[in-house]
Amino acid sequence: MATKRPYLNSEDAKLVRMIRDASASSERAFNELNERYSHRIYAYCLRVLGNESEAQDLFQETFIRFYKACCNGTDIRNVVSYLLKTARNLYLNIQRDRKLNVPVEDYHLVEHSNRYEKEELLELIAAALEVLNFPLREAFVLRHYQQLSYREIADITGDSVDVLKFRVWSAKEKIKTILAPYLNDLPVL
Amino acid sequence: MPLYSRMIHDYFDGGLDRHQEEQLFDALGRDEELRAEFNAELQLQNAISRDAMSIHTPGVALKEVYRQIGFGAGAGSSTTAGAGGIAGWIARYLAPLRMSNAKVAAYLAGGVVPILLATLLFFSQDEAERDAALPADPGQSELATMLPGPVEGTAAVPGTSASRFNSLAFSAATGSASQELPAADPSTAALMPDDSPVRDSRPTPLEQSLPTPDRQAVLAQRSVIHEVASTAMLAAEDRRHNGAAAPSSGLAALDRLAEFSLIDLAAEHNFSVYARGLSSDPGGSNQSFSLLSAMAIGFALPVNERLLLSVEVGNESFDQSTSIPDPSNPGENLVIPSTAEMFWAGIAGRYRLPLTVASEDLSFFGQPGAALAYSNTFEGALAKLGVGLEYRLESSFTVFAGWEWTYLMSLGASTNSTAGKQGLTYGVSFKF
Repeated sequence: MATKRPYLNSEDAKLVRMIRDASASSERAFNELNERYSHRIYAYCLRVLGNESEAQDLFQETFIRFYKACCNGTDIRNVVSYLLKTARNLYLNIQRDRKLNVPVEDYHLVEHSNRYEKEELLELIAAALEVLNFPLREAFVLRHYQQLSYREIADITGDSVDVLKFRVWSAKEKIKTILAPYLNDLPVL
Repeated sequence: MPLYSRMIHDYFDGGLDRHQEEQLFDALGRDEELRAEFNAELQLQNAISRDAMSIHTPGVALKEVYRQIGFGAGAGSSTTAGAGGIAGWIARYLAPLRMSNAKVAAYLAGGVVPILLATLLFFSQDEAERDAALPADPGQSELATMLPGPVEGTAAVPGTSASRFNSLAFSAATGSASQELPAADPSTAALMPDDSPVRDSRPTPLEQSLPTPDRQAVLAQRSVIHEVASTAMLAAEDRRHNGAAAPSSGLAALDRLAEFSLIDLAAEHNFSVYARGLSSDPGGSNQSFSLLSAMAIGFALPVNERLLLSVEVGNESFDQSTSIPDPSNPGENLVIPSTAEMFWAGIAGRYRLPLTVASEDLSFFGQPGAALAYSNTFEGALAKLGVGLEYRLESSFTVFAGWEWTYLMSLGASTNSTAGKQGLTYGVSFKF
């Protein structure tokens, strides 16, 4: 039966080759890769940038560059890693012109009551992520939002596994510090 | 406390060994403050997971990507291909044909050329175009009709839908969509739900866990290839020489067929050697008996993740019984020729398209010539890899000095080792 995802079982490398070869099914191949990774890449963009509008721009540019790289015959062996690296480099380019980082010490949470909906907690996590510096935030997002191993993260960032472990731990500690009043109020699951 | 705080983090990060975990939980049992910290960490982990799941890529962003690239469809809106292309045209206009009745075979008098044409068309297409061009679940109604009921309580090895190509080939061969064929019995079709292992062509988790799932699956099925071709040829020859009744009369003949195969000695290297024996009673009431065996050597080359191109060559020099009694000439023997086989085999039991061409002197048939045997096969197994029951529903025809056809249905029990290193298959074929 014709399916909306005819390449559901195809390997990434094959899909990349199909895009590169500009075959009649290149759009479908791109669709499949998009289906597989768009969510993860957008999650990365959103949680690293913290701004939906900018995250969309970053996301779009990432996938467009990925497509062009495929067409140009770039050797892409790990698609998700390539996409994340592309998004990361684009983000770093943006940061060259702007200084977005805000020290944790300068961050003040909004007034809150002792009762919080879970949705609010999610928003607070996103807000807490924003105040982390980029290396900590990135390591945390790649570890907890992308579910990457430390070795995979190291492949993307170029940092050592030990450094990354420290960053993830440090990021989580800062987030816990920021969210302590909220977390402590939540019942044990 | 800081030590345990770090251990809590490492615990959720998957970085504690068993001993450290015991240490941590001992401490948690003693320290209420530590439990609160553990709870906070747990809440944070859960919240992060929910947050990650709550993020959805905005459609506007995806559309913009596609617009800038120049694609029209956009994510998740794969167009139904197949509108273009000859195969798509064939599928569209000839799709109503189903190999659900033996009458279809009678329309195969068109012979080899349409089949080969359809073969070339089918495999020259892009994979997705093939998928889209072919009729929805061709042959599934046939399978649903023939199987006694749903496959339940089975986990691993899915059934086979073998007739995607088949439908195309038969459509090309018949050249007409006007033939009225009996529809599948809805009562039996209903027994084959969409999520049945038989209908579901996706690799099962077990298959995915296999080191080489494609080859494992293909090689587990391979034992049927020779059986189909050989039995079809024997049956055709038998009818030709003995004037057997028209095969559409039903169970006109019963063939016994036992087969053993030692396969996949080195599947990891796309190399296989096997030997097989075939005990057949092609003459039905004549009770003539023949025994043949052959050894083949071959290579299987993965074309893509769905297809293997397998080439095997069997040679009589390996055979201990290459001569069998000629039923039409008592006292004389028939010599099994050297043959070359080429067939495509689908992975994970999806479909298998054996195409056998014997081009040498076919004294086996009493006269020189060439023969082509084609078959399609539904297969499934009612067990995980290991000991289990296999079923096979096969249809095949043989073209030889004109054309002959046969329709096979076989059920067999088999054992396959979990490693797929060797298999033992015994089957019984009912031919009509």
